[in-house]
Amino acid sequence: MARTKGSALLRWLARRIIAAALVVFVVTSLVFVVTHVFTDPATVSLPLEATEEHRAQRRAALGIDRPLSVQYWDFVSGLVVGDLGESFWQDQPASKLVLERLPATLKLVAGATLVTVLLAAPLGMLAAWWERRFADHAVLGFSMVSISAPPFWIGYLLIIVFAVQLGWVPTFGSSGFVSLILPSFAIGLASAGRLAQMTRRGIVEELRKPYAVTALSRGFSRSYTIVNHTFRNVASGFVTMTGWELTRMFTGYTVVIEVVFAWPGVGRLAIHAIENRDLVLVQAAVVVLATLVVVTNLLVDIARRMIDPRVELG
Amino acid sequence: MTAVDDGLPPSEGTNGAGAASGENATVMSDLRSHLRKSKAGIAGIAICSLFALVAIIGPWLPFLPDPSKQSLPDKLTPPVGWGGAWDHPLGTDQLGRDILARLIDGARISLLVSVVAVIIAAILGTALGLVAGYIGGRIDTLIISAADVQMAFPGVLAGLILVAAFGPSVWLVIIVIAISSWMVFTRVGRGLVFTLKSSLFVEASELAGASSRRVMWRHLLPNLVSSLITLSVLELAAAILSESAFAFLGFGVQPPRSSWGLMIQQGRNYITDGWWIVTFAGLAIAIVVLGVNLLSLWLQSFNDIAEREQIILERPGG
Amino acid sequence: MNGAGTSTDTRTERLLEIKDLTVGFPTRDGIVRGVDSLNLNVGSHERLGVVGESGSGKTVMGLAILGMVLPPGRIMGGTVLWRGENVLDEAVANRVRGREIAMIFQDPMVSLNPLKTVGAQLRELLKRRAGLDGADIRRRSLELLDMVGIANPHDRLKSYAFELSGGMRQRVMIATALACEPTLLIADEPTTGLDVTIQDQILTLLHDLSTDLGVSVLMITHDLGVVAQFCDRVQVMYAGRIVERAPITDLFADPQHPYSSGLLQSVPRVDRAEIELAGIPGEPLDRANFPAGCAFEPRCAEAHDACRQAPPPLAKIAERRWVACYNRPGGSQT
Repeated sequence: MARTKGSALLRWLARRIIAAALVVFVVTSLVFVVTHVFTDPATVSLPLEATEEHRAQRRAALGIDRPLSVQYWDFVSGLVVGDLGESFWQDQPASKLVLERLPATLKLVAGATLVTVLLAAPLGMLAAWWERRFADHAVLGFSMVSISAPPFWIGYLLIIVFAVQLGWVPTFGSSGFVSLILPSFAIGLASAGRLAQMTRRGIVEELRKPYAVTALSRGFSRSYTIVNHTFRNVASGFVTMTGWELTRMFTGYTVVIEVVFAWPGVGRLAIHAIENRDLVLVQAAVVVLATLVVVTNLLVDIARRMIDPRVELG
Repeated sequence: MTAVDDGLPPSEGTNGAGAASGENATVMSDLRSHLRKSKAGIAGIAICSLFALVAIIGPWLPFLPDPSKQSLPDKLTPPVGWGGAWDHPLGTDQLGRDILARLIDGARISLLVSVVAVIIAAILGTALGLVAGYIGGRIDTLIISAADVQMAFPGVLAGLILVAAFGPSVWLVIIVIAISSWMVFTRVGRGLVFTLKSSLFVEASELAGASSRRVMWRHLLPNLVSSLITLSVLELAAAILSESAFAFLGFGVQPPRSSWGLMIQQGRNYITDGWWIVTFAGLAIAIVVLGVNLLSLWLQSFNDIAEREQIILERPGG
Repeated sequence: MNGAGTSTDTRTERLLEIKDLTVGFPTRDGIVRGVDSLNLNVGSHERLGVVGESGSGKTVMGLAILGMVLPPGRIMGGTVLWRGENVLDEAVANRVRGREIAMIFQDPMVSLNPLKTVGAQLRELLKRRAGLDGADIRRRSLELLDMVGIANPHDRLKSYAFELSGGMRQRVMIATALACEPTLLIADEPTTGLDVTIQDQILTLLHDLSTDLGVSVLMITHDLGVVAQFCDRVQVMYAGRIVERAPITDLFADPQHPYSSGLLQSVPRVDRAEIELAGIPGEPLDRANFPAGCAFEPRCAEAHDACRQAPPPLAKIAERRWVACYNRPGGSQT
């Protein structure tokens, strides 16, 4: 019994991993189509007024004069071994440049996730506890404002108040833990706002369920019932939503926030690469970020399975 | 709470066996009576109409200076209340241009881009959702797989690669926002079609020999409208934020034209001696997005209430 | 087993006294009254039945006795006195809930926490509500499971709700209700959804427990058969109001309200909390189009103009017999 259960789990895991790999493959192929069929790194790297001769020279240097099928094969086989091409601008392997910047981005996402979870869970529980009362409305107000304000603007406001006016934290750059605080909040507030509402709604729904009504009818306080009975039933949704917020961070928030705080991460690298017309490097950054999104989704699925065994193996 | 919700409240029309106009009339009067009780709904509609109005009639407002008129002696004039005067109520930027005039000018681009992008996404996404849900089979698998891949490849990444390949432009931003939003409409549209498909009135018209196109157009689409409007409003909030982010990164309109995100990008070097540039431009974005979110919250709560009522009345023994 | 008829009314202490209780639920069409001007008393050692169709406000009433209303509902008026103290006062409710009054719910599958074992659910009750600790908790848990007739209580402590049969789950539910030795047990459709033989076992168990432990029971049900088997007295409820109140034998022998007559002729559904009223036309309850007069008027064969003006008050027509109907002798006077 336990064995068949275990092997079903393994098969499910294998299927999920293969599906994730497939998505990465499709996404990277789409990227290839944009960067090699509709245009090419040589054309992008040269100014419009470059001579045809100059172009041909650059094409040959980058290997773009070869047939598309050969280039695609190179691209795919390169992907498998982690070779994402040469950065024209930096004259270095693109994968090396991206991976150097990756820890900074991961640190930022970790800080933002911490802010998100530490704000969202208590705020959501508080709002559910005081359902339709002042605290509930206040949390709703916070959520509405935080999801409506552009994160990069929140970033500048935080800089204006805490760095420029109060001088508590450094304005830009990455120097230790303190410099992580403002960007983490700039990213995490919107996620916390969404997640707090989701938590509140989940708990309020659970509180209407018969088992929670029973618990309340036995005289357990509302706070005890929320924490000890309902939150666990909301946890799997909470993890899923946190995962979604992580993917938003990887693909949107970090890029702009890294620009705002001059944070040396992958997103800012990509922006600099665009400014320097380095298509290969942009492509490498995008492939890495997209892979992170897919991996995050995979991890979320696994975490959900672990929290709630009732999640289907489908 | 707002964006990314597949579990949308069910359509008002899911029960609707035809009689569209009569039902729409009651839905509208229900909406109105619900609006009277909802401060959020009133605030949302007020904010949205105000910004839409300003965006449309902006250039003809009489008392405003030219948004692109530079005046270096007046540069970085603070707003009224911080030492400024009423000829520049919100102050001036690093080139002495009037912030208020530039905000009103920027509203046009920011809102137009977002609205057009959402309309494209809604039309494209809904069409694909209808086809996937109604025809099913391989086409359904194909469309829904594409939607899944799109989920893993969100807009900003697509934006980065497209801008790198083709250079920045307004149309590119519109396309990028549209392609990062279409699958939301596809998924919801497809889900609603699945539930509607089996209902009697579709079967009846199929038996009567109507073509699939006719069934989709005449019978399915009208029943999706209220859900799709709610969804469009939700997506509009996300689109305005995306547009501002792209403009901020310099992917969209180029100077001397203006948009809110671009104002923040240009004002960011002056946050120490001209905090008002970044602050007011961001405030404009935040307020309009808040307005759209309030509107969307109200539309959703309206649908929720219809649902909740049923729960109360159907509760066994209750 | 059959407790019908034995009146102990004169010697009992009055435990629960509900006066003019009204619970409202806001909807788009205005406020729907789940419970409307309800009056009800329960004495010690009494088994009272409240019978009515689905949607008649029985569960709302049961929860209101514990001072609870499901949002967006609201208690709009009236008092619920427990031994003279108002349970609608949160401080009183916190003391009484689960300790002196405990409720058993319909559908034990979803009323037990799906993610906690039987033992864990008993333990938190005994620890936090009964104030036991250490070895006492375990001893009492086993005693409770034994009391409700669960074999192998040791093993069952480790079970989750989904590992138990429907009857077992309801027994566990009863055990959790009895954990703090309550004086009043509210049983809301405790047998609905169970097999007929299991229903009988559960009713017998509840009956025996109430006699042995001296616990009063308020039996909320749609099934007159359950009432006949279990209760001393019965109140018939329609659309949130009591329409008839009588000793059980009297109601069966001579129902006064037209709705009660309809109930007696009807066939209750075993599987769902629903009744098909024989000979009574019309939809069960349309709360959106609530009549101004007697709520039963749209379905009543004897209705006349007066019935459409105002709801008839509950009036005494004989010793221990009350009815709310303009067509009954004494029923039309206030």
